[in-house]
Amino acid sequence: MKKVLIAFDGTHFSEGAFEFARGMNELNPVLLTGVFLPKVNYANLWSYAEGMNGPIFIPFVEGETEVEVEKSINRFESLCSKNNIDYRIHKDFTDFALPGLKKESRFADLLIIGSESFYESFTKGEPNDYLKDTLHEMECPVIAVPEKFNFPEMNILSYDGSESSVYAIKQFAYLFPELLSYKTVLVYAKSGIENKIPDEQYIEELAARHFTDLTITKLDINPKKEFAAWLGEMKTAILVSGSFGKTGFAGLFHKSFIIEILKSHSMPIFIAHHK
Amino acid sequence: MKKIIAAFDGLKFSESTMQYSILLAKYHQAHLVGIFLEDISYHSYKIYELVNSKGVSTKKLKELEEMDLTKRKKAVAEFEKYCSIAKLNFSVHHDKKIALQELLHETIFADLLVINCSETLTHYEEEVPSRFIRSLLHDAHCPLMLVPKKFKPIDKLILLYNGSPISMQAIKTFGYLFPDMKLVDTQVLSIIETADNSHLPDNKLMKEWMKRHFPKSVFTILKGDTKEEITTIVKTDTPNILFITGAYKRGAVSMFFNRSLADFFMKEIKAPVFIAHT
Repeated sequence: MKKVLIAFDGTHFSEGAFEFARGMNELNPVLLTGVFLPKVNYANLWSYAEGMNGPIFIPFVEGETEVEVEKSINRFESLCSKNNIDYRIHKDFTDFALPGLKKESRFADLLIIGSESFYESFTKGEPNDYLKDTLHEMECPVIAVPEKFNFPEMNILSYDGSESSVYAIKQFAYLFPELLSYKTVLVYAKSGIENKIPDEQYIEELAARHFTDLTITKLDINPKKEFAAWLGEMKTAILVSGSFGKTGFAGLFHKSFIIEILKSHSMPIFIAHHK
Repeated sequence: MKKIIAAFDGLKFSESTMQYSILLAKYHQAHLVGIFLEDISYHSYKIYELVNSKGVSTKKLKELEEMDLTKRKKAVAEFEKYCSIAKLNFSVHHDKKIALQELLHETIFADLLVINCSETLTHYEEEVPSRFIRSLLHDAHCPLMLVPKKFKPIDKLILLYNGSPISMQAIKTFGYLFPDMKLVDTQVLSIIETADNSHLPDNKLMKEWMKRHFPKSVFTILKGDTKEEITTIVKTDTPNILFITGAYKRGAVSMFFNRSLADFFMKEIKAPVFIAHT
């Protein structure tokens, strides 16, 4: 992991996202590129491409907002210097925020998003459209970080037999070689005892090579008690997930399972999108 | 890089696939899986060979099938022998259903697939790239290393970069899979076909990433026809090159360009090619 993007919506400086980046830098030094999107664009980011469906005009960026963006940038700079993080600042996205971020992501290894609005939309069960679009458009994996969390000391890999879930596991392994020796649980969650873990031998052959301390679990999430007990053991983890597919039932599985986890424990979630 | 799969046709065992995959597995401490594609509908004899004046000879069929079986066993034994010599962690999968489907399924659960670019999985000759390789390039779920018939060690990397998301994705994927190759002689090659611009696309961002992953890389920009320039490089450059390129994205206009480039590599350039598609 070498070059990490961190995206802020202008006025809001996410301490959680920065904290995560700081933790990563401690494991292995990174180049942290702060991307500051003006607040106004952030909210209307996705309406640009929507033609007549979206709002027809986009509110101006007011002077006040600019001052606040500067404040965020200053805070970012001082925190980076204090923690000895190599950093860059990219800001001029006034015209095309999403294409700009997309291009940045092409030349980055990871994007950290630390907005509660992003994070909350997971727990509500229905990821909102702009989150979906962001995940869909970005050309590198994304980590969504809540404001309050502990830096991961274990990994939860969600697996449903789909190509996208395996893709995410692989990407995570390539990007975080430092976390591979941590305790890792690969979870296949589906109700009903008759369901076997699909391609168990294959996924074990792959995952056990990357993760040295690996447990493969089949979890019944219907009896809530069992699930809650299981979750109780997962204190400080990072959750690895395939993308919320725009179509397909892989998304359905992920929704129920991942949302359950995020509701009760706020933990960072790593999402890799396979185009 | 932890799990490499190498695909073999037991009836036409490719030594170079074996040598390249062993080299990579050894260098990167990976687990090597030999996938022997034993599609039941595929055999080395022609159906006509079974027919004599009295119709189909069951005795002949049995003989021919046994010959194939021996051949396949020999190929597996050969693979196992060389893996043991190289002291690798390895295993063997025998896939007996439709070869292409089975191999695509295996690619979901692998970090890299090594395969000979002239593999056809049929008993008749086909032009390179065969239909089998074409379909594989379209649908594989992990990056591929297409290797030529003759094995040569790898001394130099050439990363082909034209500014497209596809080419950048391929370079990133390569960097993640082979983090320990960053000190090998590396060149980022951009070939600009139109005369009006001689800059590396997204120069600054690209170098920002490269500096952290391949600190010793050299950037080269050439003007001219892609294929001609690559042919010249291969002819004049002495070290054994591994090319890295993105290709074969389904359903885009860019596919045409990339297809011809990938085909060109397999036909004309006798060097291994790493292909990652998004």
